[in-house]
Amino acid sequence: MRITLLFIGLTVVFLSCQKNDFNISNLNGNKITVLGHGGMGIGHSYPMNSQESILNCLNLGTDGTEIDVQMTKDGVLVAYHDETLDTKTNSTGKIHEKTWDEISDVQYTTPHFNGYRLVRLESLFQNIEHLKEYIFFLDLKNFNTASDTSYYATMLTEVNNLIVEFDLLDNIYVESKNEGSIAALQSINSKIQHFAYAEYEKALQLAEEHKIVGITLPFDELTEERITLLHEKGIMVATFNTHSKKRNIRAVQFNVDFIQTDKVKHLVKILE
Amino acid sequence: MYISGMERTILKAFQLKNLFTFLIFIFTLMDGYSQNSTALRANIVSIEVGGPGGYGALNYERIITIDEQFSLGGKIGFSTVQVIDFTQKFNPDLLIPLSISVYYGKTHKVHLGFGQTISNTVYADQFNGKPSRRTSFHTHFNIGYRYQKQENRFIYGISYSPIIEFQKIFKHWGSIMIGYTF
Repeated sequence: MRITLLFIGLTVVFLSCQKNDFNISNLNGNKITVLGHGGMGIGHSYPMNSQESILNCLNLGTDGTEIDVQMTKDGVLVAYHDETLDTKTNSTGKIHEKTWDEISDVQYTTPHFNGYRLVRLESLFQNIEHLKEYIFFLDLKNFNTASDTSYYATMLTEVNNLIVEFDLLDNIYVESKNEGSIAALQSINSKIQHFAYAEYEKALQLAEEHKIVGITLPFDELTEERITLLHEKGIMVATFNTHSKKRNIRAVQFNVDFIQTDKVKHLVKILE
Repeated sequence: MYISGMERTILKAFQLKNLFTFLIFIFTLMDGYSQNSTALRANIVSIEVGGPGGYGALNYERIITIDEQFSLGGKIGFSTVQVIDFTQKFNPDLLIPLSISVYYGKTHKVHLGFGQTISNTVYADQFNGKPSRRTSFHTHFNIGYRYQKQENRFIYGISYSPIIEFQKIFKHWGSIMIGYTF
């Protein structure tokens, strides 16, 4: 009995220590760029898109992070995911209805007692050491659907200003959801790199029509056939929703080019 | 009325002396009660999931028996959120919940109480991104149930324990606990 238990124990230890060997083949120099999903991702005690979450993610050895971007009424770019402040903070309403002064003291409601605050992108980039060593995916979120196009045009201008101010043309990929936003941003600055972020067929169409570098697909939409086809067409693939270790491993096996993970430590470790 | 520096010092000393006397009085009273209740095991160490420590806490509680049904409890706990900060250095958040509660019952007790959680937590400075610390106070309340057989040292409890975070944000919260009396 004791020998059987010892054998089982050693087998478990052996299996848990087994190294994942990946044979990566993609358009990103046969390397997968490890990105956080809004920093440390969904479910971490640092709230997504908070300065603490993003800095923690970068300090864990990732190549960068995805950031959700919204703009205030007075043109300040803020890192925040949800449509309303009600869902994650102690405030109410939408970011585009407020000025920065009105939301600068807004606190995330989890975890208890920490009071992490919203961060503006300009401050965030100023505070990141060795900023140009990292890759950022900016997911532009426009919840101001009632307004005319001037709001979104201003947002794109502010994004361009930010990229130019910090000299991040080679480090930033903007995720765009439709023709309008791709064309508008290309007209402001043709050097900005885009990823189409839509359903597979739509994203492929956008990538081919606008000759953009890649498409972003949720993990559930990845198939080997799709990724092979996209790579053959010279289109890179980014994925998200890898909120388990198993999904991290599977995403790596798919040979995608970028992974925006919710299990940051694990992905860094298996790709070390 | 003008008060000179010397008078102010004397007044302050007098106030301190009063406070000191008051504290001695309270401690003497507590000591008297606790000596009477030694047989009832007046000390509890407990592990709590949820509660005024946030995700959970380790607690020490001193019970003062008033009579067969009523008792008072003073509790201090310790908890944390992040132990390693966002720069990957050991720099833990510190949470210290302090509560007082009134208990009613013998084997089955209901309790009602309130207190303060003192937090000293790490955040990223908005201007330079470096780790900084801030200390804050948060009010909490608790209403709940505890179960302990007279001959058993283990105690079990469940509470509704809402928090007023930073003294302004009301949050529903709760806890379950298991404790050991001695």
